[in-house]
Amino acid sequence: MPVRLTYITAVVLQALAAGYRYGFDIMDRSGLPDGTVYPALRRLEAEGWVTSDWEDAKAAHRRGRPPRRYYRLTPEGQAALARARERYHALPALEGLEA
Amino acid sequence: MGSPYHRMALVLIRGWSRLVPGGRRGPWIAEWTAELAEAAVRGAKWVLLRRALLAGRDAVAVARLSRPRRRGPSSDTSHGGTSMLTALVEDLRFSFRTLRRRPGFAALAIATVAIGVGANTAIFSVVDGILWRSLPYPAEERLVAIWPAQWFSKREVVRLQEEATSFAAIAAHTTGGLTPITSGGIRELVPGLQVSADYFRVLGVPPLLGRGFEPGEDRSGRTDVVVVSQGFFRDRLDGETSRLGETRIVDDAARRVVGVMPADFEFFGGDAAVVRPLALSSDQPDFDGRFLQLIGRLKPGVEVAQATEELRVLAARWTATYDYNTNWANGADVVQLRDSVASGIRPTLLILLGAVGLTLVIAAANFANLLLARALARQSEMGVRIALGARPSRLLRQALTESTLLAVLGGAVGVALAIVGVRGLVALLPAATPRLTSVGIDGPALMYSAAVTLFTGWAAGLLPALHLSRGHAVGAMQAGSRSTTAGRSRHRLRAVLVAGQVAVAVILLVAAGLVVKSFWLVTRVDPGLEVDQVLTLTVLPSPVINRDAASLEQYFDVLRERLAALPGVSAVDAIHVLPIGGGGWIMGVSVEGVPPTGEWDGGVYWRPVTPHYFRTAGMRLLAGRGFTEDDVLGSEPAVILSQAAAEKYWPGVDPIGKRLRIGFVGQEWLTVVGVVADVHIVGLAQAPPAAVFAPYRQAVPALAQRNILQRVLTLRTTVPPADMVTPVRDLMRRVAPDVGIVRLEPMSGVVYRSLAERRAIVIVLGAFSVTALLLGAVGIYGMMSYWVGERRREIGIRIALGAGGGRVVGLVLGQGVRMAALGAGVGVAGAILGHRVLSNAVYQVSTTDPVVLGLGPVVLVLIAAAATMAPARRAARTDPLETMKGE
Repeated sequence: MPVRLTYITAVVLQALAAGYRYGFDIMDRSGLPDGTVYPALRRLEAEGWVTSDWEDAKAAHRRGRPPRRYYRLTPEGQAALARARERYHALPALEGLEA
Repeated sequence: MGSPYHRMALVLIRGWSRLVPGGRRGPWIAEWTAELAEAAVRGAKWVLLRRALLAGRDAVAVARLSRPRRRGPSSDTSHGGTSMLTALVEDLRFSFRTLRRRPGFAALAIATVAIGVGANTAIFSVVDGILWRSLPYPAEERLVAIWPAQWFSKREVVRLQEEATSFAAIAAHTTGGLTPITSGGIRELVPGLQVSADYFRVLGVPPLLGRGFEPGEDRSGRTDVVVVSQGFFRDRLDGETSRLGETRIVDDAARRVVGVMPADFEFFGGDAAVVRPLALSSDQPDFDGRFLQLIGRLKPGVEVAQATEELRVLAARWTATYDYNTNWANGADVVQLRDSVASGIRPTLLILLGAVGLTLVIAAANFANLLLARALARQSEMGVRIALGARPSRLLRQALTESTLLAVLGGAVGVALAIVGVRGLVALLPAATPRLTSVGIDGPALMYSAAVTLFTGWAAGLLPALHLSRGHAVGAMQAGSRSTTAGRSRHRLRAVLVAGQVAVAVILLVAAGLVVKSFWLVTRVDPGLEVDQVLTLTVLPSPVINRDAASLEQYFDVLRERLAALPGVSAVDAIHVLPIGGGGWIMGVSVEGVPPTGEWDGGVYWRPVTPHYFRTAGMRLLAGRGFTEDDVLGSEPAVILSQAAAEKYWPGVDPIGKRLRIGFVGQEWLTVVGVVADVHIVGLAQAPPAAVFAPYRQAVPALAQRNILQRVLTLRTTVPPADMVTPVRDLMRRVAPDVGIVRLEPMSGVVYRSLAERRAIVIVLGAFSVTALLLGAVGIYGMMSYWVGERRREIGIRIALGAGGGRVVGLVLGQGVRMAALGAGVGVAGAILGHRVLSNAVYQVSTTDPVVLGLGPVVLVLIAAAATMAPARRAARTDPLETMKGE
């Protein structure tokens, strides 16, 4: 199985589901070691559980920063998160926008 | 984006992005730029940097995932570059973590490797710098030394230049001399060479500024030019190009500075600030002094062997025309210039190289042993990992990563040690060792140390790693770890490693024992003169003060009287070179009534002395008379022979009253008036060579004619001679400011310096053998501790059955000592097999000296016993109940 549903994977999925959509946010809110978040995102994206798009350049410019790359769950990702919640009952309940 | 941290982080991102495949690199950089901008706003500086560092991991992950892969097992099993890289990073992290948990083990392992790598790097850089590095001249493979062991007269040089056809050019040069420079009435001695006009052409290096010598500038009357070093040009001519062509008083004559050599030019023949031309001439007498050495550049296509053959033919032809014994007949020899340099110190350096190689073997064995011990301790961990599905290859890689990491850390410490060690080695070697300046920890030395480090890491790591990865999953998980067959085989492996270490340590110890014994014997050699109460003052006077031979002697008589009047000085006499160290002239001798054979017999050392020199220097007159104030020009020419010279020319006959002729001095017959005890002129370890002493007043015309002015004032002191150094220097400055002081040192210092090479071997081999002993002891200790641990149960049962502490100690000691004795036996055999290696370094000690050969292994076995004592005592204290409970 290419992507194992590890605890870290599960937390990243959970964070994305909770509306934290880019690297810094996920690291900050999930409490995961910051070295693990990005590799997990890459694996999830490669597996098709997560997809990404870029923040509108103009909007970013107005806020005085480079455009962010936003990640979000695909339907497969949603399903994986459901499985993960079954396995990891203690998955942190990240307070989110649409949890 | 302003902070330096942010900029540094962005640089890091750019660097990492190289790992990301081209198509994804742009977005990757953009994403991380945004991340860092976020971190810069929200996080602390260290968060920013930490994120930038961690981006590397992401780059690796992206690279790995973007590789095309087939369906199937995860990319973890692939052997592609990136996944290897990830695995390596993981392995390294894991290794760091496990090592941090065992700092004692890590420190010991790192220290072991550091010793091996450090010693090897230091010795390598010395050997490489002196022996192996190619000379810094263009097409240096065509440069040769002609008769490198011989000295030539000016006329011989001219003849050779005219007649030899194998060479594009031949040049003559003096070696390692001092040249007086006079400016503003102050006379200074600077390093200087005299060379023939072709010197720079032979070496193939053009001057930085101006020109070299033109053809013909090495003939009498045209030698008023000088080429200087870049340093001299900078310091004395302010480095002003416009001042090229100015005149300086060099060697008491006005000479024009015509050229400046580049700063990195290596003067061949010795360091030099000024180089002036020789005044070569073909009509000087054949028996004139020989003080020149020859270098040549072969014509393209001419082999060294052809040149040698040509010179053999020439030498044979010339020998027939000589009426005294010459060194021409001594066979011709042409060798590559780079091999001729440092040929004297080559055997010593190669011995050190061999010894340091053995030290590395011991260090590697010790390292392997430490790793093996650790592997055994981690057996159950590995067993668990294998049982859980870890592949052996993965475990092997992990184990090798750990041993390599340790080796690299040790190598880094080793290089630091080597930097210090090289300085020490350079200080230990004789100051006259050629190319000492090119010794240092540089590129080749670092590459060598890297190679040694990796070799150590892998060679030593492989065995234990194989053991680990094989895992013996089931057996290893048995908590009690009873001694299984597998256990026994591992124990045997460790025993072999330890015995091997002991064997190599014995070889080193025997070698050290031989050189130490030799050194001790050498220092007990009677040099043939007084060492403790004599101060030597080597001077180079200006010829301006003494226009003729008589005034020169008068000048020195007055100077000697003034020195002798110093409190603490009882007598002052002179000889023309230091009596020990092999300087001065070697002359051909013709004995009255014996026709020359044409064969070179080695000649004699010819040394003019003042009348009471023998008494002042503490030399013993054996027969006849010493010189007196009456041995002057006009009276019968007299010489005094050394005992070796008397036996060489008049074996079994009383030489007093016999006559001989000496090439350099001229063609008059000299009468032997006395015989003195031999002095070890060349060195304490060498047999005293034949020497002929002449009275200064009779020799002075010959010396003055050739402008040979240096002499060694020899002061007999009533106080420790070192105490007289300052008063003598002060007096010289006051009464003889225009006499350059070449050297001022007690005779004991002269003797001490003459032993430098031997001392270097003793100290280095001694240090290596002590290191070998220590490493061996550590190895034995570690191994026996483990052995005892493994047999706790057996020992417990023995004690329970009534075995006393003594018997248990005996059991363990016996085991350790047996193993050491086995290694020692192998070591002695090795020492006997390799004994010839040291034959040049020993003195009056057989390289199979039974005492040393016997003592080496005994010392090691005793040390082995001492190292085994602690584990043995621990074994004896074993509580049988405890061991049973453990089951």
